[in-house]
Amino acid sequence: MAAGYGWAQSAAIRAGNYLFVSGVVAIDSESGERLNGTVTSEAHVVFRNLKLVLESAGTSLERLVHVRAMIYDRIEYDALNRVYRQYLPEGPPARTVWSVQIIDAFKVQLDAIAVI
Amino acid sequence: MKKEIIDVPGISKHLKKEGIPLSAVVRAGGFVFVSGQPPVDRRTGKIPLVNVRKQTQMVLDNIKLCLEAAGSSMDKVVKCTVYITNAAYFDEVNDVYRRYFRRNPPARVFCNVGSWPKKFDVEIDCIAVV
Repeated sequence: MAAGYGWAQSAAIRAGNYLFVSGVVAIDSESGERLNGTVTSEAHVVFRNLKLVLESAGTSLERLVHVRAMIYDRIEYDALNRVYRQYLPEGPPARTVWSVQIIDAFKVQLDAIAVI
Repeated sequence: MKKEIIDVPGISKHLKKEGIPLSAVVRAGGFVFVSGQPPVDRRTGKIPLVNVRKQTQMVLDNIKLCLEAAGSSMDKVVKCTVYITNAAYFDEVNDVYRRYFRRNPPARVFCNVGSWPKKFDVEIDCIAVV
């Protein structure tokens, strides 16, 4: 994936048995193009990108332990949850959701920690 | 490394009932990850309309319960993130917060955020060692 989105960050860092993932937003994982859309469309891209990062480091969505989910407006809480359930149907990680203005007008960003 | 979902009495059942896709507490490799706790009344699963001090107390009582269910405790918290809807509540939250972390308080981030879909003003999540 466009490593760290061209910003001064790594997509993820592995340390011991943990993986610390940078905030994931809806960009095209090949081209780095921004895929701004609805919370639902962005969340699907975010989960696909997160999956890619996790699998590149030898872990998976099922191994997430902690997620901080940012959304641009509280009104989209249910929309986020609907997509979230599709990718994390069993034993979901601990999670905090809050609303905040996200860089580049994205509507969703996930910040995650996984075990290897 | 093993990932364990911890059942928290009085909290996990309400989450399950409402279909919220998170585990209150996850334990893995010597660390405990606690989901952001809103000021939920554990008996009813509802969030009562109370002031910020009371909300902070409820949130921290819920955090304490989550940690203890995972075999950890308040004095083993290494990092807290506090989310509030108005930075002016800083002092009120701190007044209550310091009663729960009297000595060697954990590292902390304090964020002023937009409100949640329900009427409350404070949420706290944390990472602790077992």
